[in-house]
Amino acid sequence: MSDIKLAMPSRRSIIGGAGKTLSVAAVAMIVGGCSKAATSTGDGDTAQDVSLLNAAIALEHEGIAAYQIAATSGLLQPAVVEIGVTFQGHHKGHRDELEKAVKQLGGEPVAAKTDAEYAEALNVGSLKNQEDVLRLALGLERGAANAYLGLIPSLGTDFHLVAAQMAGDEAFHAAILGNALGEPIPKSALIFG
Amino acid sequence: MGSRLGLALAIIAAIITFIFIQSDANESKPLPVDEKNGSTGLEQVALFPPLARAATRSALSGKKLYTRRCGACHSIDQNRVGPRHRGVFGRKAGSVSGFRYSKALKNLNIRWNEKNLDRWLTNPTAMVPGTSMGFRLNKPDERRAIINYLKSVSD
Repeated sequence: MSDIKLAMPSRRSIIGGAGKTLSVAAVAMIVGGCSKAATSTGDGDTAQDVSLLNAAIALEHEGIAAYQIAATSGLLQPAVVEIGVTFQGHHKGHRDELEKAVKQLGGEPVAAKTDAEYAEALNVGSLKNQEDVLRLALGLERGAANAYLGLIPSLGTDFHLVAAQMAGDEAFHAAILGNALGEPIPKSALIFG
Repeated sequence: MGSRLGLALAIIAAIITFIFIQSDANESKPLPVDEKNGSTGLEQVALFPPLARAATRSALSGKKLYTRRCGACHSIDQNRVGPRHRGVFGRKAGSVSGFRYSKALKNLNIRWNEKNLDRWLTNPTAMVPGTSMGFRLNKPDERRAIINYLKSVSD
């Protein structure tokens, strides 16, 4: 149910442009940073992967904007801003990897909206203090960890590792934020997913 | 032989009796009391009839699950990575104003109900190839709780 603008090339057109594009396996190697050849997804799955990866890019765009809005809100202590900017850097890293993958698959990465649009969508106007900002960030990070984990079965196997890595990053952010907010450590295992 | 059988039956009976006694002892243990307000929480629950109580629990659980499972991309009243969800029950798929859907969703000629939402959340790309939503919710009880919550914000 996501709004994603993209060109969905057929598998044939991607392979046909062999001089310009890489195989799905090669893209997975780029995204995953792995040295072994990855297993290629089947025909018809490429366009689906582009679509799903673009949804993940949209998610990262929103996360980047959320940290930008928070950092400039005047509601955060300098030390918290520093942590937020670091987390934002992680999200930019995710976006860059995902955009690279979409381009290599022949798709067009979805563009970011304006910060004003994100601010409205996230109801930023209701945030009154640092705790409000941290709770928003925690909700987004926790949701993102779950989103990546829930996305894995739908992605081609080439992208499972990178999605899991991104879920790990989001879970790390959520743990830091939860700790800062004094949330108790979950008692049960399998906290996400 | 007969005496052995009798002995075995006696042991089994003793074990069963022990289990029942332990079970009863556990059930009669006092509930933990919230030290801040001295409440076990049962006083509030007792105010509601059983059915209403179950519905309230389900809605609360559904809201919490919705936030955790769907909240990265969706919210009730705002279009984000995904479209807003208020009023989703009975709404035609791909029809929220101001949201740009994938072609696959726009062409999906259904109205959302419990059955197709369950199918959608189980495996969206299998139901609608080409959709941008890949998130799968594997646990049937979580799907049920979230669908009930979505229904509660659609009435």
